[in-house]
Amino acid sequence: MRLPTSTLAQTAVFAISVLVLGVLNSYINPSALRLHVAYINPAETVIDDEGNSLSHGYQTASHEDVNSYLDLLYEDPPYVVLLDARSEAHYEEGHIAGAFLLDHYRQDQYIEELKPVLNDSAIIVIYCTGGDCEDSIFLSNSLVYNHGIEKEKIYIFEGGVELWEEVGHPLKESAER
Amino acid sequence: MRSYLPLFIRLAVAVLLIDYGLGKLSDPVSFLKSIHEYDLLPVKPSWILNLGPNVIPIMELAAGLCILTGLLRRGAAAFMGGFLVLFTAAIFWRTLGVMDETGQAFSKIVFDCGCGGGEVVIWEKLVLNIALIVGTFYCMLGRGVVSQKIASDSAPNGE
Repeated sequence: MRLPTSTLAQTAVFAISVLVLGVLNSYINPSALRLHVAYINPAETVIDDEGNSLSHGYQTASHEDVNSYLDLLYEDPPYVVLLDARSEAHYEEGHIAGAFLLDHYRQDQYIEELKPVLNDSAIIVIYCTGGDCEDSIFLSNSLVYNHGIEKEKIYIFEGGVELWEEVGHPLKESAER
Repeated sequence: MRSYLPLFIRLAVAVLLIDYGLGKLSDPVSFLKSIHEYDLLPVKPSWILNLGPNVIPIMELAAGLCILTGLLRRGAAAFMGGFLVLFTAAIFWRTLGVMDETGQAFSKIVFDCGCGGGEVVIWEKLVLNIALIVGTFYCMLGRGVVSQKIASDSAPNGE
């Protein structure tokens, strides 16, 4: 097969090849992100009863709330479930003891196993790194709109791991809950 | 010495592009978040944003290999150069936004531009990108690294 010689034709062949390989990468490479999955799914801005604009439509949990839930995390069935929306690597580096790992970007690895726990619990608290991290909101949206979890029982711990450490609480450095 | 300069430029551009591509392929989530930070692409439908972390690393990797081997080299270099111009303009645009938001001086701006390697000093990144753009367009000229080496090895009298 002769390859095109003009720069324009070569550019077109290169662009089409790269596009095809990129799409194939999305579905063949196990560590790649899937094209059809809405990983970035920002919450709609919500106006509360007093007319205040909220950044997302979920209830929030403070670090004191999360601290008071720690003893309830191991109940069977669990009354409170704590979810870490970060990656497995970050979870192993340090997570709030008792939290389940549910990496928002690799949900398919965890969700089926966690669904019964999420359905049985009364309160689900979700956190990520804190600061600008939006993964807890993205995960909440996904749980509500893709997996049928009731929105009313989801709470977001906005401070996340950064605040948890800042106020002096320990992190568990392990792959175990 | 003079004849090695084109070879060095092509090798440097190819290695840089391959390194960028592999870096992004190994951490597509961080790259997706970085692309989203630019706020230039819509989040719906999701495939538009998701094309970035799937296609861009492959493009960088392929462009690096093409420049290295000479296969589709001019087309790959032209496409990559054009993309780099757009991406560098986007970094500059976002830098202006960060300056506006934080009131920081241009020389102090630091953020993760999605270029690989996490947070970077932006003016340094812009200078590197401009050099890479020049290098990439330079690669459109002449022969590829491998074909150039083969040609020089097979030339009579070692020319």
